[in-house]
Amino acid sequence: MMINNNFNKAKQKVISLLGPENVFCDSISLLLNGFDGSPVKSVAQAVLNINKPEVLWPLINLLIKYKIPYTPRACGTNHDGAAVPLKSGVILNLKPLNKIEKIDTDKGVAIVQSGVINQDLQEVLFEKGYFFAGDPASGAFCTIGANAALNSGGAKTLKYGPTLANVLAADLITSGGALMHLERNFQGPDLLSLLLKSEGTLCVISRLWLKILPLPKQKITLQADFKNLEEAMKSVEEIIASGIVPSALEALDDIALNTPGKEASLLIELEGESSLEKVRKICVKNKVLDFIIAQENEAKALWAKRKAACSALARLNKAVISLDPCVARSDLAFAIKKIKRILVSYKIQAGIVFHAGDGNIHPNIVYDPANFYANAQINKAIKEIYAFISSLGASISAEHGIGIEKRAAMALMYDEKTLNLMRQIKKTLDPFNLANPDKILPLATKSAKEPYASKQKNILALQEQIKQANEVKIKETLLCEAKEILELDKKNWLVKVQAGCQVSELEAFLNKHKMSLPITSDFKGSIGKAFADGDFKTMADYVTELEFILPNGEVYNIGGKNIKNVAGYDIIRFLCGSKGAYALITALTIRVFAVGAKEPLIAKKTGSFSPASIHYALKEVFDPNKKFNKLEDFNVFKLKKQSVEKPRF
Amino acid sequence: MSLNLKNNPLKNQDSSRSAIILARHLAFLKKESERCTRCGACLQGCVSYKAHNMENFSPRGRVQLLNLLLEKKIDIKQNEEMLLKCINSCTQCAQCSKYCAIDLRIDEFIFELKNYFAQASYRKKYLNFYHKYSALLFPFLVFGKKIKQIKTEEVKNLFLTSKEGLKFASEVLSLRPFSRVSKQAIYLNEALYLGDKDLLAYILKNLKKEVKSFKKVALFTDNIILWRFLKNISGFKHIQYILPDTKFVAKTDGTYIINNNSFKASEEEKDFISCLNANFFVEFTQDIIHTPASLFWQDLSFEEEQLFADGLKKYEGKTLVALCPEDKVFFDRIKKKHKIKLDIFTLAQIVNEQRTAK
Repeated sequence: MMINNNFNKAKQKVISLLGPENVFCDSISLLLNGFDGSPVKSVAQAVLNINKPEVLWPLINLLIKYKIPYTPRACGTNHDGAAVPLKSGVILNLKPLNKIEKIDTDKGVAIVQSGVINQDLQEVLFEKGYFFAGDPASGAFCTIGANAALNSGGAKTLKYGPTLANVLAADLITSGGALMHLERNFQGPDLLSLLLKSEGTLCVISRLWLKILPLPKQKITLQADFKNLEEAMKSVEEIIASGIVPSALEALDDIALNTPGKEASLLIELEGESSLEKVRKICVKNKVLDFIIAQENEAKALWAKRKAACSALARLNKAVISLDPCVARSDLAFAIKKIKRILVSYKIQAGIVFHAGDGNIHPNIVYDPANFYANAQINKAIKEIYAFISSLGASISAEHGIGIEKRAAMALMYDEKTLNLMRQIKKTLDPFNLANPDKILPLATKSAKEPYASKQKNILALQEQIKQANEVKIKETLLCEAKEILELDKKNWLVKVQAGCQVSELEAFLNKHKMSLPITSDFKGSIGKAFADGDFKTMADYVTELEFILPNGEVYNIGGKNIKNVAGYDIIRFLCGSKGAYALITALTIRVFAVGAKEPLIAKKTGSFSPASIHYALKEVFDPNKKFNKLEDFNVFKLKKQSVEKPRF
Repeated sequence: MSLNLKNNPLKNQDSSRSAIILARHLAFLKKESERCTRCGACLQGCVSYKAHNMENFSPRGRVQLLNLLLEKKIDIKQNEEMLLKCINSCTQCAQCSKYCAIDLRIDEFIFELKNYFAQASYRKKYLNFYHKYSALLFPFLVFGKKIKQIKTEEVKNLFLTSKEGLKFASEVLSLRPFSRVSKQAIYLNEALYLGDKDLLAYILKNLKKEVKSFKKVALFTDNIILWRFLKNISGFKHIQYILPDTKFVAKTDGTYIINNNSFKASEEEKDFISCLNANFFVEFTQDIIHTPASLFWQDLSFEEEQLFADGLKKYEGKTLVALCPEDKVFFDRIKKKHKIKLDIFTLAQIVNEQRTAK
């Protein structure tokens, strides 16, 4: 490994900036900070304690000046190696940034520094009668900043969305060294989500504005044990089809629970008693063995059991690898059976825990790191699992992130052109590869996946048109012919439509099936316009798959039928509100809900947009020849009311 | 430099522990410390991690440190300062073991490390400290003199006491049912002793928050060190000291003294202990951090052993129960050396005796 000696040159300056008590170069500190929850270990050149958010900006600029790689790290509880320093350099210990700065219950906002432990915040909020919906299983010992950087899900994702859906704004230092305050409801592309969910490869987070919600009046926890996995999954499907959205819908298998004879045990959390009877009937219909309504203490014990399930499996052997693929809900039973078959064929022991509501499976493989033969078998099995998951068109990572562990598997999931697009984003925003280097994207592995090509004739024609033109004005009418409803997936509650389809038409179609869009049906215009125009800035939370054409005429497809996906950069969210400056959106897969189950988003435009250098840099990636809409044209959409807060650059 | 007891660079003493026990013990430690999956669940309980905000001062970090030492990956002499800081910053509150998903006894690993690396001077300080203050720290191990009843009906009581102190306060002083017993006392005690400024600041901050959360609060402690320290700090000046003025003498005629080494052990063996036909128990749990048995674990120099044995002579009773066989070995050795009249059993032996009696 090439050892970068640049740190020694900058050491004195770093010490004068942070103070000598916050710079650790002894071998114990280096060894003890070079690991996380994954099997990967490495050693950096120094560990820097960040005590104040203010020092981050000058520090990162200093590191960039001397070309020193840096890896942000807080509690190091992630499963993917994202907090392990790969190119030596320095570790930024963000754990000391643990101040809850302000809780505003009137506005529903909590302002926290990035090193605050999730549970610490929850406890403070609980006293005020509120909660934060980001709730990973490791919430008691992981930080909010890391939750945002990996877009962690957890049990409550089904109802409240993953962490990013609950982040309103952030202070961050980009890999280019700019200090930025970004808000989700700023006009223009959703830069916040792109930068936040990059596992530290595009930015370091210093402060977050979180959405907080009032606590539900009543919480009921149910345990339902089933003899067969299929019966359990059928119950899950029927519960969701009946219009009930439980706040959590978890499941454990017989190995994880140590209950032979019960293939699946569901853990359901309901908010309010009204739907309890319905759920009970559905479970009884599907031959439930035990149906327990847990008392308060029992519920706590049940959740503790579920949350500790992964690490507790280490009792069976020496170590655990936790995978986190996510498939469409309808594929869940099939995928679990197949994964089990793969594991059995390699003689590997594993307990399976899964979020039944959102199709996220956690095969927790137990193994002995000293047994080389078994390790080789595990590697083969994991490869096979990822290949299988990719063949379903699903995601290899739903909440743990990619880091180092799943880097190579990215080549199975994405085709080469999509990987190159992501590589370009990283290269443009971080030309010297200093911010958490060599993570997320495969270094040498070439994707074997066939490049995505659209089968729709009108899309092919559009591609041709864009290829030949020197300049294309992206607008709604461009897609007037691409307005088909491609698929209505009743099992997964998803609808795939072409971007030209009018919202009112789509809503009318869905209403026939007693379904409804997550956005208001009053919106006049196409669904593509609703997505790209910035009227619904949080609409991307409900979009699971996106097809778009770039100015080079290539068509890309990101996502699938899986609700959760954290593999790679969040291009779907980035393009939401991009007004045709970066890509032409041609088709979307959107989550739908039972009529009346969810309050639809209302169209409103807040804030203004003034392009910063980072917007232009990204424009270079997506549209180097400036074929599509210009960023300056955004001013046309500028509102009369100016936003009070201006981004500080 | 490896973890080799005979060549411990930090102390030049002969080891009194037998080589076989040691080798077996090291192998056991290595096997156990390798089981750690680094999931980080222990972090949620660790007070020194919360105070220092760094992996060096976390239970997980310390287990990794033990592993690295056993694998000979750390130069002990070069890293002496940080090594001792990492190890000694642990307060031994055993919360890490409580949260560990695979039931590793992390606190015991750290205790091993602590004992091993305790420098001669440090150890002397340590031992003298306990010799002098153990009676003062936890005087309610033996129920001493009665104190004037303190009536506190209007205000809430916050106790910074040991478990036994609390029992005493409720049964003997008959104070109202306790609103709150602060765990911070244990940490504060340790922080004062270690002189760990970060830890002290963190705990005081927590304690102040706790005191503020009651409008009117009466503070009690049976810990003279805490009392001396806190009465000079604003916000705690009204702290009351409930200390019976007695010496540390435990009458153990026909009674058992149970040494429980860890929090977990006390939980697991509670059922068993309650079955024993004894008229008086002293349950040493991790609430009291350091047990007399823990002192046996150290490799004592002659002078130190003498010191301890002097203290031990006060146990004039018949029976002493050591929970683990290894404890018994050390007890036996010291007993022999100082010609102490004492019957020592392991728990297993007692169980067998009771079974045969039935």
